[in-house]
Amino acid sequence: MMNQIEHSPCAGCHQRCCINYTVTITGYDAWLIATELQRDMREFVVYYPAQKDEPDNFRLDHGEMAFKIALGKGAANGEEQPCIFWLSLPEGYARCSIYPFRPFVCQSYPTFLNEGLVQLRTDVLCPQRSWNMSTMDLPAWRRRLLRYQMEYDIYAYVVERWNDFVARSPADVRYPINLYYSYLIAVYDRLHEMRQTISKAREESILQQWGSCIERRINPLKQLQQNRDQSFGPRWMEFVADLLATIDSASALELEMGTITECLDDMAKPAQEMSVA
Amino acid sequence: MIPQAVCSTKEMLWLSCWEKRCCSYYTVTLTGSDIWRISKTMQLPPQVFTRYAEAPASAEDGFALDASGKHYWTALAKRDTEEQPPGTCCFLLRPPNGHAHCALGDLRPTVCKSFPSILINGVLCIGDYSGCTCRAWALAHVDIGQETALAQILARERAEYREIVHRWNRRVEQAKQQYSYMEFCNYLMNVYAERDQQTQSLDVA
Repeated sequence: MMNQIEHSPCAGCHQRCCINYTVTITGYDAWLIATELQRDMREFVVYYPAQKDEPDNFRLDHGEMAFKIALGKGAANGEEQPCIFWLSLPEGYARCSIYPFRPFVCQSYPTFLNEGLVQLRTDVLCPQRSWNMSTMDLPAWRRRLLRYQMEYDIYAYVVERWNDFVARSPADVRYPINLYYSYLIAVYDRLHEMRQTISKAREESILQQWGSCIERRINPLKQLQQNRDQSFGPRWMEFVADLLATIDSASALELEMGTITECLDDMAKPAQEMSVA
Repeated sequence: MIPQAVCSTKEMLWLSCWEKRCCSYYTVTLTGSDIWRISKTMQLPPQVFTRYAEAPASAEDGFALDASGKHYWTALAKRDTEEQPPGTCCFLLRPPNGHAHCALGDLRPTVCKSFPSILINGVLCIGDYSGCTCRAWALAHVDIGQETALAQILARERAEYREIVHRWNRRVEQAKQQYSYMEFCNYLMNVYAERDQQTQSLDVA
């Protein structure tokens, strides 16, 4: 395993990306970190008002305001406020303290997919000449980007189900953010159980198929939701149908049947809200 | 609300401990295997996260740096800042809410992973530790099979490290010159890299 480690220019950088950015995450990222660290999401997730209309914006009431989730910030270090998981080490070194399960947006930085190809972003904080495509393991980067997009699409659907629930609620109700976090945990626990049954080989094939949808700018979950009568021949479409069914049933159980609203009494601890200028 | 645990009971108890006093109370002595694994994966030079201190003459894994007869141990570096309790491990991250976690996770030294279990004459026991503030550990908190396997790995890694240190000490004795701690670390890196390569060649064959 250790021989497969790709030398990363991040190892010698002063991690400006971990200090300057607000790390927006998906529900899966939040669930994975909470699972791996056995933490309450309120300990490391913040929510902030969305600046533009995007599929991962969630609402807490009937108002105009929509929100996103991000990693919180740690203790201020002079004028800088690094990521909550940023670890300063002796001799000026620093490392991510959740590296093996860091959010997908961090894993894929500083690349993006363009017509199926891995490309380097030009608007990055990395020191000049840090990255060289010829020395990067491009299939691994492509895989990370595909996985990120897949998780983003799944999260968009999870958010949509939540927003539907909020829209159907009485107009004067404002749900606490903690209920949203509990909803995410309940849904992703179910998704995790479902994904456990998928072999590595099938997972790889699903990812490649998802990639072809990304190139056509289609979220397979949305497409399938709109055409539920079509026959699901390809095995990956069966996977998409399973995803939809799992999210739908988890959402119905947790939201419509009120399973997690029973937890409201346990939510006295305030969550962190962050204002973004 | 916390997601369903996907780890052992002991791991879950350790992760949920806020203070992690074990990470400041003890000095974590390392084997070469720990140093190699952490250095390689975290892409950090050993001198950044380790410190060395004089070991008692009876220490079987004490390394020499000259022919004076003095031997040393290597341990995880401690953090020396005002915000942290004194003596906190350099890999322990304590966020503003105080719930500390180990940045090494699964990579952490084998002695940390096997805490609080020890093998006495082949029998798994819970050490007589007074450092923990979260609980008094009991065998009921651990999976006996898993813990025994971990303690055996620790014993193997220590035996291998002793052998490697003895070879280094013979080299120092013969050369009759002063070596630096960095040179000792470089020696370890070379030896363990070679060992990994040999293991992989055997796997391929």
